[in-house]
Parts: sequence; C-alpha cells; structure tokens
Amino acid sequence: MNGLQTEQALREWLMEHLSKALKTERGRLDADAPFARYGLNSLDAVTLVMDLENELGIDLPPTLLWDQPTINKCAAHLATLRTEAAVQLDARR
Amino acid sequence: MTVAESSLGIDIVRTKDLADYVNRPGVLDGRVVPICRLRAAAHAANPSASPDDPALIVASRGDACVGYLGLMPGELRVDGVIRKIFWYSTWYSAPDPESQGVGGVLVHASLRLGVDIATTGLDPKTFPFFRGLRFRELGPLRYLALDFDRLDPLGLPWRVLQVVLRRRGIRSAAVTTVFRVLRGVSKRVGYALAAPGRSKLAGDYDFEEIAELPADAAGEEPSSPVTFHRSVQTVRWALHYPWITDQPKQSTPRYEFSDLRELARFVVLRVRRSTTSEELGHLVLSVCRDQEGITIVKALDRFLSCDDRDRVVLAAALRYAHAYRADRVHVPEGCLPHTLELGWISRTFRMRQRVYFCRPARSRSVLGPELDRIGLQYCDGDTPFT
Repeated sequence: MNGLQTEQALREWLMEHLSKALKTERGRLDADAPFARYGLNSLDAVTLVMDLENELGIDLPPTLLWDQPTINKCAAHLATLRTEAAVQLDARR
Repeated sequence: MTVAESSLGIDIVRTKDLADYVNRPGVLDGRVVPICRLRAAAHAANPSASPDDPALIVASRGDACVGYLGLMPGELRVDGVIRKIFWYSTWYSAPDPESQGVGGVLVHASLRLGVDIATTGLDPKTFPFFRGLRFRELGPLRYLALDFDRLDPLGLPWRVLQVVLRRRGIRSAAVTTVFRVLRGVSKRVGYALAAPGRSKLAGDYDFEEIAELPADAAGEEPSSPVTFHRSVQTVRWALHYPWITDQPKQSTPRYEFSDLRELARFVVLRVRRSTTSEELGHLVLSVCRDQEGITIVKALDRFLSCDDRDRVVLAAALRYAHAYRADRVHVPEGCLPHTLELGWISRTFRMRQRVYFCRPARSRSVLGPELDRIGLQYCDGDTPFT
C-alpha cells in the first residue's frame, strides 16, 4: 500500500508530478484548469498515467487525462477507483 | 473496447473484425481514414495472425476518427523456435491542436494489450518519446543505397531546380512533364556510363521472372540465433496482398499513407548461374515510383543456396534499376564488397541506417530475454510492404 489513500493525497501527487514535468512551480498550477492548457506533451502525459498505475496498483484507461481533464477531476475519479479496487480486494479475501 | 463517457474513445479492432470494420459507414470517407482496403485485406490474411489478435487501435472523438495505430503480427525466431511478436505498421494522429496527445494515448493503449512490440521507420523526433516509454533501441541496421543522381550528370541540378520552382509555387503538369523528359534523357546517359560495371556483374547470372514464389523455396540459415523471421509463407502472403498499388480503383483515396503509386510491383526471380545453368534459388525485388516520379528498387527477401548470394542480389537490383531507370537502389549491407567490381560506380554507394525500437510486454515475455541476441536484417519491419 502507498500513501495515496485520499483525494487530497492524489491531488498533491498530481500537482507534484505535473510541476516536475512542466518544470514550473506548484503555485502556478490551477487544479481546475484543463491539462491541455499546460501544453503537456505526449510522453509526459503517458508517463504520468503509467506512474499513477504503478503507484495505485490498478490499470487506468490511456484516455484518463482526456476523460478527467483537470487535476481536481482526476484526483476525485482516482479516489473513487481506488476505493472500488480496495472493496473488490476485500471481497476476494 | 470503448472507454465509457470518454471524450476520446479508443477502439481495438481485431483481425477477425477488420473486413467488417472497413465496410462500416463513415470509416473510409471520414476526415481521418484509419486504414485502407489493401492493408485491411492483407492484415486479415496474415499467416502470422490469429483471429483475435489486435490489428488496429482507433482513437475517435464522437464518430470521427482522430488517430490510429496499426499492429501487424510477425515472428521472432529464437534458436529455431518461432514466437509471435507485433510490429507497429502505422501511427498517425490528426494534426489539429485538439488532437495533441492522441499519438501518446494510442501507444499507451497498445502497451496495455500485453504483447511484445517492435517498430522501425520512425521519425527521429519521436525517438525520445519511445525511449521515455522504456522501448529499447536496437541497431542501427545498416544498408546500402545507390542514388542515381550521383551517376546522372544533370541529376543534382535538376533536383535543385525542381525544389526552387516548387518553393516559388511554380508547379504544373507541363513543368513536371518537361522535367521528366529531360531527366529521362540525362538519366539514360548516366546509366550508359554505368553499363560496363553493371554488365560484368549481371552477366554471371540468369534472372527469370516468375509469377509467384514457390512454396518450397529454401530459406537461408539465419545469421544470428535470434532474428525477426519472414518465412516463405509470409513472403508469399506479402506478394499476394500488397499494401500499395498502381491501380487507382484499388486505392483508398483519403488514406494518409497513400497506397497509390505511379508504379508498384514486386518482382519474383528464379536465379541461375549463367555458365552452368545451376539453379541458385529465388529472389524478391520491389519496384516503386512515387507521385514525385522517384523510382526505387529494393532488394527484399532472398531464398538462395549459393555462397555468392550478396553478389546475386546486387546484380539483380542493378539490372532492374537499369530496366526501370530507377533513381535509387536499396540493398543489404552484405553487398558492399561486391560494389568494388562495379568500378567507379562503387563510389556512388552510400551507407544508410535504420533504428529499431522494441518493448517486451514483460521481462520474461518472448522479446524480453532475447533483446541482446537479435540480429537485424534488411527486411525487418514493414520495409518490404511499402
């Protein structure tokens, strides 16, 4: 298990990764602005989703950043997926 | 598979569904056409493919295709055992700003399929992208290219003038025709100058054009314990289902990677030694002329039993280059020593190279343990098809 248990933690993780990928300060990122506005390139976008998969231990759709186009929407969606995955894991036990 | 409630839909088209897919309304007449009929027919008949293999990943917004990635099942020969891998056969995303990032989504979708992937012929600008996604770089594969502009005394001046006129917007059918006539004359002079060296080489072999590659054509022993494999069956399939055509009726007009050429043909040759009539085997060449009038002869697959097979390949390629007044000839690197027999023409050959990228699905999947042992060959990838 990792520390990405809550929507807030996921938001922080996304902010941190985006600021590194975009080489910009976290304070300049708007959690309600579309990812498209930041000019995220293909490699950074794919890497972000693949890193999230590794962190969360679940498969994510390659279209994640299109489906959930802001940091806040993405964090909320991932928190829901995370909860669902945990419930499924518990049910299997 | 379509991601629900997605602004960008991803569809995986399986081999068994390709024929139906291209007949769906809107697929071949949209702004972005994801596959042409020729490629769809070829993919569907690929002897290396299973019905459930992924063949095409399509990204769409609403009903409109905005990008696609083709996957072609191929073979890896590992110590004599044939295993399946997949080649990227096309990769395209619409150039509009709204489609930025679609190319990355398509590649990511292909990685999720859990198959071993190989690709080549990429734009060098995309190399950092593939390296970043942990694709492993192989090669480069070196091959020989002869540019007949170097033989044609007026070749370079013509080419420069053509570029100048195009930049100034002077481009009409009349100008193109004048160019072709003049270039034809000067190329003839260049080929005449090259004739003595070419004849010396070609005179040692008899080349007979035949309709198809025999099913029992004997392949060579691979040069390396691990190679990308093209069996006789695979080559026969490629010859029966070409990806390009010189027949406008067969082409798909709006396909980005146009399947229409002025001239497109495969040549299957039965080779004999002139002096003894001994049969040496078979050889496949392609001759292709693009819409700019550039003719390329490529030496493709060979099924030759003799020791001088590289010499045979060079002789055949030059013979057909002469016959079609080709502008360029591409042959495997092994032909290099034999170019010395061509006299001064040998100086016009240049070495070119292609880089390959591979990504095993897992560290223990087919490609994973073998990456360091793969020996690259000229026909690896989709080179023989285009």
